[in-house]
Amino acid sequence: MIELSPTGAFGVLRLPLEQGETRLSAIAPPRITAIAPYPGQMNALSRRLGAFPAPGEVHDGQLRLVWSGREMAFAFGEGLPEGLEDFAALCDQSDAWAGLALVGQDAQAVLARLVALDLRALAAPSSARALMGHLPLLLIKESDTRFDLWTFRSMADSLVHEMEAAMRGVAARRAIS
Amino acid sequence: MRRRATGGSALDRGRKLGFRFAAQRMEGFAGDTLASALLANGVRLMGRSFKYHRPRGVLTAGSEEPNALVEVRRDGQFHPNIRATLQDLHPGLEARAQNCWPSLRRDVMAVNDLLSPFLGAGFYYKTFMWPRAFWEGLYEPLIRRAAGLGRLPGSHDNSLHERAFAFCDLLVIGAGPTGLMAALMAGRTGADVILAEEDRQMGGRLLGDNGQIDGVPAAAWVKAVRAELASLPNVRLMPRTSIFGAYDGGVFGALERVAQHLAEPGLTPRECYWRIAARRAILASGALERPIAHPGNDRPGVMLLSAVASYWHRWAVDPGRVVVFGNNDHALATARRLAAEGMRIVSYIDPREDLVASDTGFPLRSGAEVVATRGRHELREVTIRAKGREHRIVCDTLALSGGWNPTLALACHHGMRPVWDEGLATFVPRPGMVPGLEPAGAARGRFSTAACLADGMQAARDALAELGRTPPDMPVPEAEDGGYALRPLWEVRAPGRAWLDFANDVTTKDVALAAQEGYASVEHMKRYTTQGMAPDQGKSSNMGALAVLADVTGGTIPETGTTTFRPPFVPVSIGTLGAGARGKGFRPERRTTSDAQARALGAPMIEAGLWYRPAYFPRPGDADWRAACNREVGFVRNAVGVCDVSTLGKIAVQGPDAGRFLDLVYTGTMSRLTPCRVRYGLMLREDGHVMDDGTCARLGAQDFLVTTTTAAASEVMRHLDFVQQAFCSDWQLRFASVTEHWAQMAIAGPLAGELLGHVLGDVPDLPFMGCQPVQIGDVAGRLFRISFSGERGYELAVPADFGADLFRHLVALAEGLGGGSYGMEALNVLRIEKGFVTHAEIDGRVTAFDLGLQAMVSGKKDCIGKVMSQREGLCGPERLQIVGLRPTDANAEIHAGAHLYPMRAAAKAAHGQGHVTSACYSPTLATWLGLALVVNGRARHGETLRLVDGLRGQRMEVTLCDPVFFDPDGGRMRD
Amino acid sequence: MHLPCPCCGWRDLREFTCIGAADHLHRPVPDAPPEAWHDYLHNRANPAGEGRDLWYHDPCGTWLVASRNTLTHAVHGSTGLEDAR
Repeated sequence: MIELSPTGAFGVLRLPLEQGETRLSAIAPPRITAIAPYPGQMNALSRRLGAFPAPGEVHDGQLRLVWSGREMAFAFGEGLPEGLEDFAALCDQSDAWAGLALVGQDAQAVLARLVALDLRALAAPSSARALMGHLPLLLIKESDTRFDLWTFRSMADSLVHEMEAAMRGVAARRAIS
Repeated sequence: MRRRATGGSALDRGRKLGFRFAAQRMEGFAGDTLASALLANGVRLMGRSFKYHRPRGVLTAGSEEPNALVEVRRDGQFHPNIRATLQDLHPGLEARAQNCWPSLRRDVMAVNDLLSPFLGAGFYYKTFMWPRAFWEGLYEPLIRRAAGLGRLPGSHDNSLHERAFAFCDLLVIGAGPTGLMAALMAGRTGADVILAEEDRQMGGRLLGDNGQIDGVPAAAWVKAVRAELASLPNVRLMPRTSIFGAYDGGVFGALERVAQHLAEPGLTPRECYWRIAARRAILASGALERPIAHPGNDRPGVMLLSAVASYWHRWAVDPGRVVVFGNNDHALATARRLAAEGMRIVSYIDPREDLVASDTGFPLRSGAEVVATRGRHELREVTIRAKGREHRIVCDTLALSGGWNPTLALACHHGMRPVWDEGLATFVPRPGMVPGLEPAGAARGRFSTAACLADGMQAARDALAELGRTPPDMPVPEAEDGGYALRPLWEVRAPGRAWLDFANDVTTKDVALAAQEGYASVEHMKRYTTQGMAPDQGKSSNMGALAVLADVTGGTIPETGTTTFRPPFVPVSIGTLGAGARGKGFRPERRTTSDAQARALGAPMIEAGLWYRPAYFPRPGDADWRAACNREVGFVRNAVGVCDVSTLGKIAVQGPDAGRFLDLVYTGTMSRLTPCRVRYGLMLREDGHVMDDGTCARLGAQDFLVTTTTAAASEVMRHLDFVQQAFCSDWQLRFASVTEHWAQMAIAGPLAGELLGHVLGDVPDLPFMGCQPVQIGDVAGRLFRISFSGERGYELAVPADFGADLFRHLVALAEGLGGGSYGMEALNVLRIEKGFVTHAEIDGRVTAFDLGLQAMVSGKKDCIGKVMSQREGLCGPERLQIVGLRPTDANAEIHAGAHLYPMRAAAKAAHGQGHVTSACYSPTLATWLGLALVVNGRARHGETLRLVDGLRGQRMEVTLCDPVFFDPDGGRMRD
Repeated sequence: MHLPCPCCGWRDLREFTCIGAADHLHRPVPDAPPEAWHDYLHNRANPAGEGRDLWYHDPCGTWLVASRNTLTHAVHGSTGLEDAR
């Protein structure tokens, strides 16, 4: 019998990064459970969870529930109520996603380089699915100066590369203005 | 700076800047453009023309400049075709003229000008026709050398480029009087406004205007409005930004020049490509003055009157003795104003006979035209003709004003045509040509300052109403409201060449020649003469060329029509359009959890979609890659091999109706699969062809795990989403991709069970095509007994956090058993030996029948693609069917892509019997092998065909056989 | 160009994949005549003007039917598939 030790998604990458007015850091991975209510079971599921997020919504309670796609939410954290299986498909996604927090005055300006998303329209907190070039993205707006960006674990390196290039450009512009 | 007068609203006279042009050191001030600094230094010859290499100077003061295109050098690189009018001066700027050798003043290619009688419109079409043998060897290189403005740098463009997205309620294009008023009114309502201005400074024509607005000088008014706009958090000012295209749904392309004006740009991007999504937009792009086509109108020193005024006001460039040649009241008023300000206007020439004016401060010649100019490299004198008599006037500058054209290109980007305005003698846009974009001010022919201010406000009011906002109460500022009467003058008829398109060297005679030779439609004329096809896209020549064409063909201008306006409105470099998509930014890289280990072992990585996978693991002493591949095949056939197969798509399908759903998407009946069992599955497209293959494991009663091939994972996901949402959205099931959550390793070979015993504590008792949960210490994993190699095989999955460590353990254990890791090359050999198909065979054109898998299409139920898979033409002896190939000579190399023909037939498409889809050298069978799709192949085992590999020039004899070369009854993987 | 996703609202064109006319929603029964299957799969009116076509919003996984005009490129709106048939 062997024993396995874990390796994080950003194992070899130099994080956190700072450029001008923004800072990029890895988010300590929480347990992530995808919850997909079966047709007609939304109300029953909502009763057990307290609420189920509509598109774009983030609910903060004992668990954080983040809308993460069509008919699906991610529960961030431990302590999912028992017996949800009757109402929804549950799926462990804890190791599937890699998250970065982008914090700072220029966070929106940096994201405007990367995502074709109208960030003005987003409430805080809220979530959106989008593409960063070809990178799939789950974006969570925490505030005007903090955005969490989640992508597939296998693309963590590419996400950092894209973010760093955009941060560098924005910081350089700030330096000349 | 011998041509510098006092003043200059754009200049910071406290900061002198040194720069170089054509290897000469010069000085300018901060705030200069390269063009203004050169003029101030007395340099008027700035470039050579494209075709005849004629000396050319700057014509305009804006982005429409056709002549003053230069190379700007920086850090050993250079950028061609930079307009000197848009290049801000910075310390150390180094610019060179284009299209000249050895120098700007002595250019040997100027000999072309002497040959011009032979080089007119259509020269290339007529000359390079025959003999045919000269096309490739002689004519093409000749044409290539002559083609193109400027030259390519020949090295990679290492400058940084950026792309960005912006969203707003209102985009205002242009910050002249119209745009400023529109932005101000909308900004005061709190709407999100973007004000984009091509120039470095906001103000547009007001920057070159000494008039008054609301009782203050125009410049002061601009400053106050700009300050208020800058103070509004909802208004974004974007100077140095050209809107170059109007696209669907309110999206505009914009080019921002970010660092081109900086001496030390550092990491600042050179340019930024913006995509601006605006709910409404106002086109306040103003108007461009047009030149007059008279003989010799291309001599350096001939400029547009508006440019002379701009250089005078903004950059204090003294044009010397000026002759103004205009045909309109605005030109006369401008000349008066400039004279009053001290400019030396020596004569005003106007073709209108009835023109009377007093107290002008300069001689006014009505009923007169300029018929010639003189001066070797720059203008020395002009010849005018009045009442049939000619005489000469010595001067330094000839300022032309042929009237004004609204800058309406963006309004035409959706394909609508503008309408002719007889009074203004120009085309004007109609409302609604681009949904959501409304032209205002000079861009729709409202030329006076007062009219622009009022029109900007009205456009803002209309846009705000559409946006559901109430416009604030604002008075229209008071300003100049002069009339603009003109008599069109398109062409001065006199001996000599009168230029229309300066950038492409097109004269009035070329247009006439085109019409005479049958190219009389405007689109044909354009292509025959190349008028309007240079980087300036005919901004200063289209109207004139059209008018000359109308005259020659006897039609009116509106009858003749315009050519099509297409994006981009200003040149955009490819580097900017592709911003960010270079190197690692080209596309994302997907890396498995074992990626770093594979690279550390020296494995060359190959791309599979976005994924990177090891090709093979080299060892010292390997003769070539095949030595490594053969060794790794041996691991699996003789001991045990380990391979990371995490890249295969994994989809969890859950719910009471999960089995029913899988029955619909798979050809087989997955609902009857017992728990803890795995089945091979085939998915079809609805048109009957195979989409993908993979396995389907039943983990629990309502819990399935579907695998897809690496390449087709996203296509399959999209397909499943479609089937579910379109046909069974009320069924009780959900599915989700879990590809990224699990790291999955294949363990294959006779010793695979023994290796697993070391991993799990004991050898699992799992039958072929079984699956079960497993525990590795605290880590919960999954074990599948499946084989893609034909040997006893397992796939062990653990959460991705543990993937790297699992791979490390497995490789070490395998090596201890005489095996090791294997890469894609060995994986490919192993599966070819077993006749297993991949997307090399499933190429989108094959059916289950072609693959010999028709028995997998259940007859007892419907599934996607079933009906069509059984239609005539998709199954039968005429189909290309999968077969194995063995060369008669075991050492003859087969490669995929080779074609097969009957032994005695010629290698022609008509005789084609099929093609090779996959091939390899099999160390197990000591021969080359191939898989092929061959007409009626299953019935032809044993037949010999001729293989022809046209690419490699190979021909050989091959024999068709069953595609399963090795262990045909499958005992090795089952036992 | 932007399209409205029933889940995510108006989004940039680059997030979508189009597979053609919404006719593809009307799957014939298995024993329908071949003509019905060919109409379902291949025969398209391809109108110049108003039309309805199928798009996939890749980021969220929603299929939609967009109503738009192929002459003017105007996009009028969209519905999810459950409301489209």
